[in-house]
Amino acid sequence: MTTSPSLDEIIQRVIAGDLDGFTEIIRVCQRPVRAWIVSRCPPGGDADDVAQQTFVAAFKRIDEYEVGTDFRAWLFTIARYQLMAECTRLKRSADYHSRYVPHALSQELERRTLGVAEEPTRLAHLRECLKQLEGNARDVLDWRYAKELPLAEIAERSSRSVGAIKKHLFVLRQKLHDCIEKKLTEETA
Amino acid sequence: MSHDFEELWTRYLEGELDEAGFASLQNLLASDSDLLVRAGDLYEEHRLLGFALQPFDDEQFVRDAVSIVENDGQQFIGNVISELSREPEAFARGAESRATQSDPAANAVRPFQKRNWQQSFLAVAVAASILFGTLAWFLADRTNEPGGRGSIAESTNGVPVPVRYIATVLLEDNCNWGSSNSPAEGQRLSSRTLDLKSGLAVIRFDGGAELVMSGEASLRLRSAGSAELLFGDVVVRAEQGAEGFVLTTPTSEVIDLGTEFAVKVNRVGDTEVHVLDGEVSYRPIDAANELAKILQAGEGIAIDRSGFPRAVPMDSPRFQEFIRRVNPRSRSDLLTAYEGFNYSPGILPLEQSTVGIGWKGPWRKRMPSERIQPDTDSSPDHFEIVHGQMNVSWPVPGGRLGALKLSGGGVYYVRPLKKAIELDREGVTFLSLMLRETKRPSNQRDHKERLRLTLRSSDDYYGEVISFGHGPRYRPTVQTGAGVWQSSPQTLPAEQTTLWIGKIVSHKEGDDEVYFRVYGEEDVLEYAEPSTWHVVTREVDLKAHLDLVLLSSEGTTDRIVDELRIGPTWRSVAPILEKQQ
Repeated sequence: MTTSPSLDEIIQRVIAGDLDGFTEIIRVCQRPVRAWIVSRCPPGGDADDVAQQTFVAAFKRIDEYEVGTDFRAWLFTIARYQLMAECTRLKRSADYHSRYVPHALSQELERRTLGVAEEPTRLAHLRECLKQLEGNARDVLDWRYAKELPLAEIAERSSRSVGAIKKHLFVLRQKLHDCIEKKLTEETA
Repeated sequence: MSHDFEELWTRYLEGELDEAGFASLQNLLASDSDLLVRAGDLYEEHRLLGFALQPFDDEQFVRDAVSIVENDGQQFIGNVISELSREPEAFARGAESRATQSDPAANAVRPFQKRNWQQSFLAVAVAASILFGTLAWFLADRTNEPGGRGSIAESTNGVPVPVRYIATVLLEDNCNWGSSNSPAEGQRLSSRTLDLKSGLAVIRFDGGAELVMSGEASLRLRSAGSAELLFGDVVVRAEQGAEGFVLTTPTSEVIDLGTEFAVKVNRVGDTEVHVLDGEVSYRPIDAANELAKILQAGEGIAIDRSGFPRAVPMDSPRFQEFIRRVNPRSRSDLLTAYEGFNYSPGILPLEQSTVGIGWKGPWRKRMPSERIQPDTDSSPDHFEIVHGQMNVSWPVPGGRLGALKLSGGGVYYVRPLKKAIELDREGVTFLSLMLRETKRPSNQRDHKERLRLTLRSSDDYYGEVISFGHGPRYRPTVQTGAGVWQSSPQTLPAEQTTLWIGKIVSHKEGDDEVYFRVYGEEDVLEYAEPSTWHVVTREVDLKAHLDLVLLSSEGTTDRIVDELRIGPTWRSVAPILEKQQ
């Protein structure tokens, strides 16, 4: 994949000292970079902070980027190093694995961090799969993820028990997972 | 998918999993690789759901990043002009002081409106990050110091890599190092070569593996999970979570599979591997990965320069045997400051609180200029000294000969240090304090109990600080000034004697590191600092000279404090138990 000419032009402007150009780069790239960091960032980590540092580091070394090559890959590599540093910091916290993340899952996430860094394919599929959910299911997800309401409040709003909400959330996550897997399979085929 | 997983996974994502639940989930995932991959997918999707559904101010993110870069850029241009006006040979000398010169810039790079502590923290943290990165950019091509002190950013294929410390020196015993840049106990290490001429040193990699090197040995630290033994003998111990540590030698590569093993490399590079426990994978250095073989506990192998392996009898002491032989002792002789409150029981006027070592004067109350936050102060003009009220479970005489009782209210006492902790230099400082909580109020919201040990600067009392303590929720917390604080999710053990240990790793350039751990009466102190702490700070860059110790106690309950120690190593401040010879 090569960088589109327009992005390279912007980068050349940034190298020449045009800070507005860098604003455009952040605007264009921040969502995919943040999405990748969010998806890989272990519990306890600050994904937005890691993303912020990624862009700051990219600006500092922008003249080292070879114009005409893959800028996004270059940027994602920076993001990977920033995330690895965050993971190292987290692991030094007492009882991290017994309080935040089981050790096996932590290793699995680290393994994934070392893989290809790019905008998560799952995100696009997830957005499509979300559209397939019906009203009440979408409400529950919005309350849980968009508004971050406590389960007790979600239960109250939907006149159900907390246990039923937990079960519902598990089923919804499974449904979304199956839908995403199906789309990934279709994509591969 | 099992019902157990459904239950555990849901509770995990909702933050309701307790320690036993974590252990159960860990067991499930560790025993089923398919389930582990599925859990990884589910975790990603859970995070992406938040990303997709949560409102996020994209433009604010852009503005914040640009503001940081913009402010830093102005300072950077000033620095470049300043540097270009110097003689070339003065450049290196200039680099020495650049971090200090740039410190005002770090303060200037805080253009954000303070919306909450997190955003304030982010601003300061990223500002520090930029400052450090700029220095790295400046110096990267001018510094011929492989590994160095890790304060210069590394570069991989043109990609900036944040400066990374990868290991810590845990123990040194009669070490004679080949270079002038000798590592010291507690020091953080970046990628570099350690040339040991004699003695014994223990290194802990951030990946978890611990390595003891003894006698003449040359070891190149490569990453948090790998090293290269060029010459000499080492023993590696990589317990659960640290497996996968890679040790290369001139003739072979050894990968730890959760075990303890010894490696010996002679002058011509011939290598011996002895497995003391568990198993390792090994292969001649030029062989393909698939030709790697497994070596079991009790087995030994020798690989010469031609790559030919042959079995040898297992022959190496264990890791713990090395430690036992050294018998690490307390190094209280290294203390730079000590206060044991060794006075007769009863009332002690503050002006008579003159004992201890490393102090410029007695304890005092805050001066009017220091009495701003908070402006109320109910500190008596005297100390109340008590005897025998600590339950001391560590090998330290404190609590028996005298301890300070801090009564309820808001009491604040300051004592000046003879030797300031200079945060603009490379250095390691440990602190410890023993204290007893007499009562924990049931309604913590109303009582606002706080206890802190704070290091401040007499030049700028309300500037940069490092503070160890707890707030109303009794969670170990580190504060570094400007409202920036980081705390542990764990709660301090209630109504018992605890030992607080802090570690400050200051760097001339780049982020400082502050660690804080609280030990309860049941906790055992090891010969060296722990691998995990309750609080590990991130992106803290301080330059102050801290020469005041402030003890502050707020709330309604009495506390007893004792054994305040400040020193350069873990062993100088931690009451460790020496084994009987």
